[in-house]
Amino acid sequence: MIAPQSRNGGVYIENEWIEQQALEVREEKARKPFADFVAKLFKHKGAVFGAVIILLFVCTAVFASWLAPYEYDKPDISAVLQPPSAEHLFGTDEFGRDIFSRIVYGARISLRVAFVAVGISLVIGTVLGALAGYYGGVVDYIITSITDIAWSFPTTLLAIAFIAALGTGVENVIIAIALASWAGYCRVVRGQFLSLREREFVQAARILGMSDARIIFRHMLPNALAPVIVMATLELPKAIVIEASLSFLGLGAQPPEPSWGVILDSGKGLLDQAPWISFFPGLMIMLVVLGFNLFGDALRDVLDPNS
Amino acid sequence: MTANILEVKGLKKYFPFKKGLLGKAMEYVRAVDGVDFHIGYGETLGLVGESGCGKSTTGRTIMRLLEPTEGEIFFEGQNITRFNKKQLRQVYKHMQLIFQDPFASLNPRKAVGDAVDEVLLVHGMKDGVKRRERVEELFDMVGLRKEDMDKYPHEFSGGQRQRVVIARALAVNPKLLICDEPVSALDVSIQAQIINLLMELKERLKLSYLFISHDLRVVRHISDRVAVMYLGKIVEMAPAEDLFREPLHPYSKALLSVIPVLKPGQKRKKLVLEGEVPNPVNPPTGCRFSTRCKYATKQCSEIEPPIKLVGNRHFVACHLC
Repeated sequence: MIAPQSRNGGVYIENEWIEQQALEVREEKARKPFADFVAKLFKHKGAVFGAVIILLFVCTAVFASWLAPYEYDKPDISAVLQPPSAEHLFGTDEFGRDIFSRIVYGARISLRVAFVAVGISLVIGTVLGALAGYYGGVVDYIITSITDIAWSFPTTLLAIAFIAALGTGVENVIIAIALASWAGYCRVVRGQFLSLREREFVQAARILGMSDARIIFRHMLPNALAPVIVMATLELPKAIVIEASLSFLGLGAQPPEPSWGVILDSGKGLLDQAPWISFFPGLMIMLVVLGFNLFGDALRDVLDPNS
Repeated sequence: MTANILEVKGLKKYFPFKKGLLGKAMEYVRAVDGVDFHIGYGETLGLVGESGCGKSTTGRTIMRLLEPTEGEIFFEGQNITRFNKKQLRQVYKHMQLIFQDPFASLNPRKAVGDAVDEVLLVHGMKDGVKRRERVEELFDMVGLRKEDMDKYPHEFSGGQRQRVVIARALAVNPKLLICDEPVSALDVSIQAQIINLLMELKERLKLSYLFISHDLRVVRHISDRVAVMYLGKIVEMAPAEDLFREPLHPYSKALLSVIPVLKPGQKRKKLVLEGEVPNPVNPPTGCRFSTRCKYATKQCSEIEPPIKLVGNRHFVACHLC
């Protein structure tokens, strides 16, 4: 660095010192983009609150067998329709099954459905979007047409249609949700790729002799993922709600499986006598959805380069 | 085998754009409209002109990043105009492009050493240790330190990044480098360093350059010959010294007259052109410069002047020269 001549000694030295400090701070930030990102997230109240709920939810699912005081499918005729008490935290249903235990195990189903379905749809959508955006032309036309068709149906309706074809059960719910919700990722990734394709570093990769696959996956995809990850975070609660809805309608998990939708459904005829059967799974769905949404929104704010 | 590393014949690049709601492409932006030139082995050809005259499009079309509308490109005697992807990959081992903006031409999520390393890998250097040595050698060649290899692009200044870009381009052992405004995005003090580096590398590695720039001083410094472009066409091409000493085309005269003079007190008459550059969608008939040329005659606005030889390797496209 060429040091400019000082015209006014003292002031100049002070300015230089300030500049130096600013430079160091900037370098520090630049060197640890991830640490900076985490620090920003921690300052965001919504993110922390959401993260706590998500963490509790995940731990519940993972440690369900330790947390649940009873077995989720074991009837107990001596304790039918008990209101919430110290013994049965969330009460019992008409077979005397402990609602708390069922909800704890139900977290497993919700978690699995959410992550696997979102994972599959993310992969489908990202790959199709990447191909459409990178190649353009006929490939883009075909993929965009299919995406637009998929996009024009409400996700839940489309999922029901797939269930009708595949049959009920948790596995099929996962497949149905995945097949019904990839269109959003496809559109986002395609848009990202359309703009990335014109970026000079991508053109540079092309003339440096790199294969299409390498350019797409090594160079473009890592630069296109931020909005996809935000989107996936916001898709997780949607998947949980769709799974619960399908199970509520009898199209998803089947009794006695403890899906939250199934529990909710089992209490709907007993709302006047035993409202706790439907209340607690409903509350859980709401809390988890809230947690994911708060976290997803926070993630979007933090990853937004204009913030 | 020809003595020229690159020959360009009648190169045209038109960009279609839509007109009206239902319209198919009816009109074209004639970014490059019939350009001929050649570059000899070890030679540097400067390509100058104001922004929008088609310099960069010419460079990119030669690299086949843009498909030429018409014309032919010969690289080492091979016609590469219709080469497919696979064949082009072979050509790219010998011909590389350096982009204007070193901030945009590096992947922001890749350490710069890896960026160079990757090029070696895709060109078949499987041995990781050898690659590392070669990357170090390349970094040394462009004046970067070994420790810089693990840094990310945003940790460098513009000049350093441009050095990384040069190292990356050199990784394939090219013979011809097309430099598309390689220093325009840099501070003036850094520009000189990069220009000197390019000149040094040219000697050392026996490179040829197509040096695209709007900065006449830089072009004069680095070029053996210079071509002046106006509205998609070359209007004058001559050895650098001849051109800068005595430009013939009225446009070249105007362009060169505005180079700042370094000696204090010395004044040169600046020829300021009237009007704007015409729209390349509807270029003027006849000589493209006729609408702004104060010497223009009736002939100029009707007949397009062919490019003709007027002196020692000095070509000019003007009826009056």
